[in-house]
Amino acid sequence: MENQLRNAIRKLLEEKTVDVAIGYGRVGVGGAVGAVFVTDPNEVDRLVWNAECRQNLAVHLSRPEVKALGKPAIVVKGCDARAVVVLANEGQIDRENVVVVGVVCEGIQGADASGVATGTLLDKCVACVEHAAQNVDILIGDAAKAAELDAANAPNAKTAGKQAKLAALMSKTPEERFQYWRDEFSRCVRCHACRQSCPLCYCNRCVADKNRPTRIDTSATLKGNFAWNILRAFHLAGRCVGCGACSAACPAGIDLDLLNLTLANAADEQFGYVAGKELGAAPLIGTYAENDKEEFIR
Amino acid sequence: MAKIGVFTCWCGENIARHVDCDAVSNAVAKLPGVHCSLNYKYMCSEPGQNMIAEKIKELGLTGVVVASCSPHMHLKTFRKTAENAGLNPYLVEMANIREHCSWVHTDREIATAKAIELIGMAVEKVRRNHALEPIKVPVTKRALVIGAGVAGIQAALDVAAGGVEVVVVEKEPSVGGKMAGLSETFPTLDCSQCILTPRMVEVGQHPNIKLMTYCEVEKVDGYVGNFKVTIRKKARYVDITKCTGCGACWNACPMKGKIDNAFDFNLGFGHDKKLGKRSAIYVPFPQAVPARPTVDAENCLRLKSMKNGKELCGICQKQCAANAINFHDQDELIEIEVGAIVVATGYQLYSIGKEQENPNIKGYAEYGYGKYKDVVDSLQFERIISASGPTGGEPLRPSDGRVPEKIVFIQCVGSRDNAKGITYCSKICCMYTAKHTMLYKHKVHDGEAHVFYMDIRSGGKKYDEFVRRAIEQDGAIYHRGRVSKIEEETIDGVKKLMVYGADTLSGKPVVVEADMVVLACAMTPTTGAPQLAQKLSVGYDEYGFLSESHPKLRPVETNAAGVFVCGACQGPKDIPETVAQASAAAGKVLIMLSQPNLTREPEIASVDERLCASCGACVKACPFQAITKEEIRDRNGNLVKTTSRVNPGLCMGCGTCVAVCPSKSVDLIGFTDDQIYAQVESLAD
Amino acid sequence: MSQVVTLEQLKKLAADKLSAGARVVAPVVDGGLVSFKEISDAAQATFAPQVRVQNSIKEFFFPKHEVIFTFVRKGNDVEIVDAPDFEDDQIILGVRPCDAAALPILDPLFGWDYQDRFFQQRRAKTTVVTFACKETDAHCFCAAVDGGPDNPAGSDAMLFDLGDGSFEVRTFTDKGAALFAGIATESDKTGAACAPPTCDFDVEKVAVWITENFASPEWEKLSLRCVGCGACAYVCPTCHCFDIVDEGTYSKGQRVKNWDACQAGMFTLHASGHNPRSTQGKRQRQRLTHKFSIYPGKFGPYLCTGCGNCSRSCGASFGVRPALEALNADVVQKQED
Repeated sequence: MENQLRNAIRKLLEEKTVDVAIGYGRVGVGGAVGAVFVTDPNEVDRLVWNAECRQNLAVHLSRPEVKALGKPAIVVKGCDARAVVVLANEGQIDRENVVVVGVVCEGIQGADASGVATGTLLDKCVACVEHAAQNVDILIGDAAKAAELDAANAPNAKTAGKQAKLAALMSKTPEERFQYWRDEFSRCVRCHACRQSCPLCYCNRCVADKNRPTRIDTSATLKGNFAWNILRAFHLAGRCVGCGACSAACPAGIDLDLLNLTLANAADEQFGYVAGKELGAAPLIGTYAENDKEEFIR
Repeated sequence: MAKIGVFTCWCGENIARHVDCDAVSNAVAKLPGVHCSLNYKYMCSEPGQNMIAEKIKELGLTGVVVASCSPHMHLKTFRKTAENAGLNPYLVEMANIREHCSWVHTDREIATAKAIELIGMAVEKVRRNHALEPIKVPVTKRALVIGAGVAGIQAALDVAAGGVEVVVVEKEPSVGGKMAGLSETFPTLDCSQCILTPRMVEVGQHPNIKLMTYCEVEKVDGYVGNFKVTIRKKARYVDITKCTGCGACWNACPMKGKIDNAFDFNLGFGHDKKLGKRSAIYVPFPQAVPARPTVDAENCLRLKSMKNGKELCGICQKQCAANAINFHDQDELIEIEVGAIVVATGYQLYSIGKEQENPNIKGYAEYGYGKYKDVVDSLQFERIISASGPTGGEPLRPSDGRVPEKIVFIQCVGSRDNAKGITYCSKICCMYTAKHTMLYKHKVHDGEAHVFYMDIRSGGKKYDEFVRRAIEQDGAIYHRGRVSKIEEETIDGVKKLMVYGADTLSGKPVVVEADMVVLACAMTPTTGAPQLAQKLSVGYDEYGFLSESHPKLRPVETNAAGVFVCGACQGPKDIPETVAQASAAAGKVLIMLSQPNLTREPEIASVDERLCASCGACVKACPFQAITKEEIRDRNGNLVKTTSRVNPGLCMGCGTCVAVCPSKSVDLIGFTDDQIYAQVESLAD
Repeated sequence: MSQVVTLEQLKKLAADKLSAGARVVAPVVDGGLVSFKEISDAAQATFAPQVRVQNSIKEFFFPKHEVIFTFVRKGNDVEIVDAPDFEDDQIILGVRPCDAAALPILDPLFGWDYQDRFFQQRRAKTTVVTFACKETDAHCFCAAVDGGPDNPAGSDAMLFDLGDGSFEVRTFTDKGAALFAGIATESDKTGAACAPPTCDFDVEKVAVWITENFASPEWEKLSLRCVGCGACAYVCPTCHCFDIVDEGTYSKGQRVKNWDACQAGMFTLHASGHNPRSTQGKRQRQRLTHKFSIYPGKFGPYLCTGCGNCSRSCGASFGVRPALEALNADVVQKQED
């Protein structure tokens, strides 16, 4: 698959269909995988594809430093591809001006504290039903295999992996859950790695950085940390695609995507809404459909 | 440096009864930035206002707080006071220590403490106010009136008389609405058409009025003072500029006497199948304006055959000396620009049947409407006794054309009936039922007119006297009670309607062997009213009646700036009220269009375009479509960024955009986040 | 002859210090992580050398959030109450040498143009006990910046794991000696640290390139994958930037000092709206220049101990080591060729 990917990107660069390809490469300590930005068709061998390709590269589409490189091609997994759709729906990218190269991903592995892959799939990958990226311009990999993997996971999609972890948490009493989050948020240092890694946190000036009035204390106290993390989850309601980049990036190991998953489940149950499935879909928050549940809305 | 003046009002003893105004004045004098704190019995009076004006000039105040009644009452008053004294009016705030304090608390200690807190909040707000200028929006000096019944006609004539161009759009082929089909009107028994047709003609001829009949509003864009309306001119298949109205076509039409005439509410008569029927090319009634025919495409033989590639009939075209008939006519979309819109779409009667458009409303099977030919509704009865109706005014019953000897009139069919989902009173039925009994009795002297009623509502001028006249002079028989059911029986070979009712005053059941039954059905808005309201961003209630801005003080304005309502589309009402409302709406239109620019309050939303990430959430959430996505380009035309931008002509300052914006790049001028936080935090001290 | 303590003695030492009212900080295994935390019970701590710790001990000298003073508005005046002095004894056990080495690097800064009592008081009251490293991972590069797995800088005492439930103790300061006085016993066993980590770049050469190439386009290229969070700065033992903010209402609250990160987009945003470091390349340039040019120019040592915390915690697989390696490969080597 790596060769297929490299060939596809080489062609796009040679034919000047795109100016830069945003993909994965071995760039970190010990060959750890991170984003690479290939502008020269002769350098496509820098691109890799494997079970360590953890990041959601869609975050780079909104960055001015990357926009300055020109028209991009971007390598996306199934979850990442939905982030591209949400970015297009929210007017952040012109979908016609991005070449989306989807891959068939069989799951991403966790890593230990030194960054060495553990060999076991991440929680969020255990229940994946989008092994082949959707809404893409080019698909690399075996779509049939992807469909098989989807079908195998489909019966447990709403109960396994991260959902199981959430269910375990939700089975505790509210007091126990509150204590859980107090413990988790006591480690939060407000580095905002969660926000910076998230493709959907693209506001030029985040509300957490606003003062006069200060809505969210910038201090890494329980008050500030609860406010920040819960607010970010709220702002992602109906928008989070569950890529897990936030949890992966958190240096304090806080399981942030449990918060996001709670609201994503609510969006699905109450409104049948899954973020990033449909190009051109209206946002969940701020719009209504005539058959929405609350009768007072017309 | 803030120099704030606080002026506390006693409001006579409305406030002073429960709030110790002296103590309040003394307490708030100590708030930071407060340079003077006075109290007086009536701040809104001339001496009160002078007190404020003098302090503004003497101390050079930078902000004023008036602690008194609701801003709805006097904010404009005190802003004017400030403006006259040289202080920008938007540097004035009010603390409501009456409706929010002295009127809802009786404990003096608590009320006084709360008043001090309320004033503290207002001081924190006014400290952060900015001087603002009203927004001027240029205005198109033209009005649109939607609907040409008596409401639309009156409104159009008044606006036109005021020197403003009016476009009148009417969906039927003729103007006149329901009133054109009525017989005589209460309380004067004026012939309805006689008093209406002169106005109908005037609307057709007035130099300031452009009449567009057989047209509907397709789309409304733009905002107050600058609406762009797309109108669909439906295909008439007749060029009314060529047509002379000679009538050769409709007399020659082979479908003459065969098609239900909606103007006669689809009345059909058993003894003469042609009564109440029309041809496929038709004028709805002889006094129609414009007096030109229309072709009914669903029933015209030529137009139906053209769908199958044939060309049948066409007799009318051959007969037309003016060559005015064009079977290839198409709908046309016409765009107009107007500054104000008046909605006068009127009413229709509740259809009674089981299938109801509005899912909240149920039908009646009990009265046999639709099953028994002689059970009719009140508008159908109007056509039967109207001199210009299908029977020439003779009261004949539909099934067999006999003159009914006993008619039962049932009031409150649908209205005031929780079980059917219509809770309101339709207002006019008591009056027109009395009228119906009188008109019937005037024509059938020894006939019996029975009325089943719950109450008699006759509150207008000379109205109660009218009802008494029906009972005392014309002998109408009134039973206080409802009718449980109607069943048809044949007695001596004649179909009769057995009406089973009650008389609660005597406590006895009443059965009337009637020849005909007239149902006073509830008034409902016309079909399509909610859809039109949505195009105009006007609110409507669960029945589809359009919502006025304020039921008492603003009956003809809506919450959509520049859109006014009048007539039965806003709620059931009779002709005098309709005419009054129509003139009122016209007055509002003329006020609005009297200046070249519209002045709007500047307390609207504003986007900080450097920060906006252009996610579009506010664009979608704005109930008034006041926010658009705009591009910002540099001098060379390169795109710098896109941003949301608020249209100051349309924004109503509701704040929905501020709530929905994730980055809080948009704020409400005059009600900024900073101000609101400061107000809330002042309570924490 | 060496001094040796057993694991039990270490635990008892921690328990005793807790009973005496001192603050005791130690590595705590929590879920999948090891973090330095203040403990309330000796049983919470792990007494073993740790390579991959989630946080640095700097937060016990320079907290992530600290109140400087509180204020209350009284009429038209403001009453200010300074934060109290730090008066508790503090013992930090089980520190990595690269983490402790940051303390003497930071001392000159916190005693330079402003005597920062918040930092200095904690330094005075804290005894730092390190573990000599038994292993390194690919992220470590302490040896390249004058450090090492048994570097005594910043340590009051260092423990060498003997593998049998006991540790050799080497004390370097009076505080260290006082802590283990009467506890350690004489022995002839000695411990050793593991081999130092290797890297294939010469920090000095890269530092020279950094100093001389402010305008190079290499900076933007280098930093493309960095998304501009603060993870690296906050886990770094030597990073010390902070933001001073007022919290509370307009009439009462507190002025606080919070950690800040130069990689954040608005870190250098001016009140005028101008941002001199408007791209990630400029921000990374600032970080590396500060660490390898400006700070050593001012105070002597590099502002980096080669601990590897940054690259371990970076979600984008960036960090100081990858940056230095990339600079070395892309430009420094090419200069020499």
